[in-house]
Amino acid sequence: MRLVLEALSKVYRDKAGQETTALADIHLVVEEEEFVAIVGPSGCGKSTLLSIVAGLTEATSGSVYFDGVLPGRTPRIGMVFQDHALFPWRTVQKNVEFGLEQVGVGKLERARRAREGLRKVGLQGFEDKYPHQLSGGMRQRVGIARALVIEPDLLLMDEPLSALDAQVRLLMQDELMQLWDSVRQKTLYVTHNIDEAVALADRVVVLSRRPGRIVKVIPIDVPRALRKQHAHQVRLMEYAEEIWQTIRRDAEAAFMEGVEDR
Amino acid sequence: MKTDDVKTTQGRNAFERTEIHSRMRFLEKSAPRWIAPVGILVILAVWQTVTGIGWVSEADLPSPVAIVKAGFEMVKTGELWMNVGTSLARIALGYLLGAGSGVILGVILGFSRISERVGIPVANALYPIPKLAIIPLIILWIGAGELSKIVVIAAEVLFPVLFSTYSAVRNTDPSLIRAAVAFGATRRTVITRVIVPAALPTIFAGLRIGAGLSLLILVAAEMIGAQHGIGAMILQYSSLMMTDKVLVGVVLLSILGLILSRGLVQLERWLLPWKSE
Repeated sequence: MRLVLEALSKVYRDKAGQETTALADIHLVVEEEEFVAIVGPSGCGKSTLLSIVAGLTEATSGSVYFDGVLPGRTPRIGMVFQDHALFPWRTVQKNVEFGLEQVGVGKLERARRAREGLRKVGLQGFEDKYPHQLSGGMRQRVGIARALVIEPDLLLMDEPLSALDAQVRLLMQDELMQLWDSVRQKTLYVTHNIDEAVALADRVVVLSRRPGRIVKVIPIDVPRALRKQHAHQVRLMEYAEEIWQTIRRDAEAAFMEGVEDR
Repeated sequence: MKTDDVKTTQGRNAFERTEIHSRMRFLEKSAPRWIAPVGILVILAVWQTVTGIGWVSEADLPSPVAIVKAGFEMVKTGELWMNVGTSLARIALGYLLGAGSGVILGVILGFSRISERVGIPVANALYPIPKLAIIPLIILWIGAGELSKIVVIAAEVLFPVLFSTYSAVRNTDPSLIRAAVAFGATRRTVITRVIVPAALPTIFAGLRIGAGLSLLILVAAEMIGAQHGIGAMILQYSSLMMTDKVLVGVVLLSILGLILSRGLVQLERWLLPWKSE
């Protein structure tokens, strides 16, 4: 099963009838077990793109579909949000169970799988805490567990680490890498952090700004397991530099305009 | 300036040390817990003394002891429980009716754009009317019986609860709704599992405001047209110049108000465990 984005575009129209093209003509295929990062400057529509794939926003034209789905199977999508979007009235355990409830998993099985998921992200013993009792990094781990326990066919991550401080962020990046290795599910990962994209992804898709178009697709040809090794650092830095040079002009324009990514 | 030049006669450096201490300390003064009951006792003692030695006449302001005595007397004759019971029944029914319909209407107005368009201007127009003003009208419509008191209390409680519910529903954190939908929640699930629980803390704020108002309107309604109840009792004894029994009623109202607000706090703790620290 693979995810296909075909000629996708999104045009926003404001009250004055002014049209803004957020995304234009996006073609992208995410293969089984592939981790694709989407980077771009503010205003490139990368979050909009993820929102369309998640079924939270309607595309203006084009289509998104899963290809090669077994008959009778509904592909599951797990999503991780920048602001973690945990339900404050639910305990950690119940938050992780939320997705399982929606797909109709029984009570005992739900509890078992949520505990298992929490153990995977290193949060055993925190099942009965509420989100506000946790640190930012722990909350996002709950968010990741909530997405992983439904055994998604597609994992969507919308800047999952960007609300965290720099140190926690680096730690979480390593953890995410290991976690992902254990699930190996196709993933779309939106970030504005180039190093993060290079560290995690199989391919990095670079978007331009307004309209958001794919300007470059860069395969990261260093096996994920070896990316921590000293010998490969220069190669990874070259990738990052290439990406930065691609988006630099757009990033400057975004900076001068001071427009938030929408 | 050359530092070495500045020497005292002893030959020590003339520059002095200036330590920096927190300048916020004046804001951080704390008070011990025992001070509260002690303070109340002191106030009661002063009150007792002032009336006891005759600075203030007992007819104007009865002493605490006299009020307690009067209270016991009223317990013995049974009138106290009867009046308290009548008031409690009115406030309980009126509050439940008003708060219940406030929550339901608030949820409807928060969801349906049509009812919002129609209902919000109407609610805005009715809200500022002092419900006291419509007591005669309500009595005209449904008679001076128990129901009229209950309806007036309900009308008073309705609006703060309605508005807090409505705005809570309208302002649900959209990221929570998105998260729920992303994981496959249906419209119904989003309403019952996301919007309502998210709105509860704000709904409780409305319930607390409503509780205070319900007490106020209860007394007013009972003074305007009732045989029994704490309000009627207070009015009756004040026309007889029996200030001690009037003050028994006032103290009862204070206790009733405290119980109401404490009860709501407890209910909130029980229903919203995730809000308490």
